[in-house]
Amino acid sequence: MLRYAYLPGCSAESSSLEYDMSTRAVCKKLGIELVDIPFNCCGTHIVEEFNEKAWLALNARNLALAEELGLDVVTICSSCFFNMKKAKAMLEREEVKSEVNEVLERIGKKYEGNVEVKHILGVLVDDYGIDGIIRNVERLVEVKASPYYGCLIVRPEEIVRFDNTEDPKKMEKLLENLGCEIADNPFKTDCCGAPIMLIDKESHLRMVKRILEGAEGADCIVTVCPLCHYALDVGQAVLGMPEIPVLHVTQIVGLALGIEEKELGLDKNITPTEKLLEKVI
Amino acid sequence: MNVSDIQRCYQCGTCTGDCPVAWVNEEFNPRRIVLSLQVNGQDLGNEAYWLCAMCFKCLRCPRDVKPVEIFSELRKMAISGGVENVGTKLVKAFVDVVKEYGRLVETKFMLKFMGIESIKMLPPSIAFKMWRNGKVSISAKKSECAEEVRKIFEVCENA
Repeated sequence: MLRYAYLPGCSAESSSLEYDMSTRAVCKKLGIELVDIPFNCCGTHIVEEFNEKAWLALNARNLALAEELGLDVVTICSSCFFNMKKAKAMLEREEVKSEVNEVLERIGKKYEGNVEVKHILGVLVDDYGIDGIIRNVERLVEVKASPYYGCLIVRPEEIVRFDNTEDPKKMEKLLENLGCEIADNPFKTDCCGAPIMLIDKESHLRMVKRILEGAEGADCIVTVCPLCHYALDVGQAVLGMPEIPVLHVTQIVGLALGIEEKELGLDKNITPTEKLLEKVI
Repeated sequence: MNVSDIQRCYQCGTCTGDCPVAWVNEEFNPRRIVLSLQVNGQDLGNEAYWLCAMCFKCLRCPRDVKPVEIFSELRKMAISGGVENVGTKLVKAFVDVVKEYGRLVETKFMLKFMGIESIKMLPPSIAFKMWRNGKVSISAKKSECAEEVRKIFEVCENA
């Protein structure tokens, strides 16, 4: 049985609660065990730029929590994924590791370096495997789905090593096997602008608009990051654009596994999902 | 990454063609910003440095200049140099919330950064729907990890 230390990230407690709900529901159904850990914020590039050592220590603390359990860590947030991966790579240098461990010692923790960082999409596609998922599909989700990857799950390649950076295909592979037709978006690896949302709202919304236009004609967009999801789901409501439901990858997998919509939090999405559900259920 | 790497740039503009911010905002043009750094040097008060979304789209540089990392270095200098602008204000709000709660509590961060203006971030009908759907945490509690996070910052900031 697959077991992971589970780090949903900060937004799982508020703006992206349905991503967390649907992840737990899908993993339960598939028999993947998620062990909660008292994780902290990954800090993002903001803390990294403020104080690199503190940012390293924050990520080393999260990694150490998983390590104590002897488990790899899985996150549902692309930013947490990238930050943990980047910190882990930097901590491979012994002098960096020992400096950071001096900080961790003050809180009774130690990081050895024996933990892998996973993203839920990788856990589903690579660890659990498409064949296993196919065996659990209870209803085909026969809709036109448009995968949107965003940035930090695929770039920079030398840090995340997840999929092809220019034309990733993991989501396509997954969705096709759930019954979806793929609606390609030429902007599927462009940035949603969430990191500059509070600095320049207009630019952020124009970035969102471009991505939404790229998904025109799709029945839904599928995301792998809570920030991308917020940007596209809430962004289209703000822009008053035609409604394309934006689903977290675990929500659409959950639908295929026959999990009840409420358990997947499909009533929490801001862009209404009812019309899409009528096509599926 | 060293800011002096910018001298290698020969102004081909590949970064700017790939940059999703440059596509929607003329003021953010990585090629021109690098040119200005070459000619005029850095201006740590420049708020354009804060428009980079850190998406790493600009890495196809034939001269391996990596504008994304240059902007990050310049922001680090602005922060440590005590520059006061919209960017450093955002950093302060973010760091303060993480230090206090151990995690990023979105509403606390918005209020700290924008004050009462944060009400205007979303049209009222959407803000209401967010609240109704349980997506706005008004009474945030400190996370279990808050004390350890506070200690990490204390140790690292006094190092």
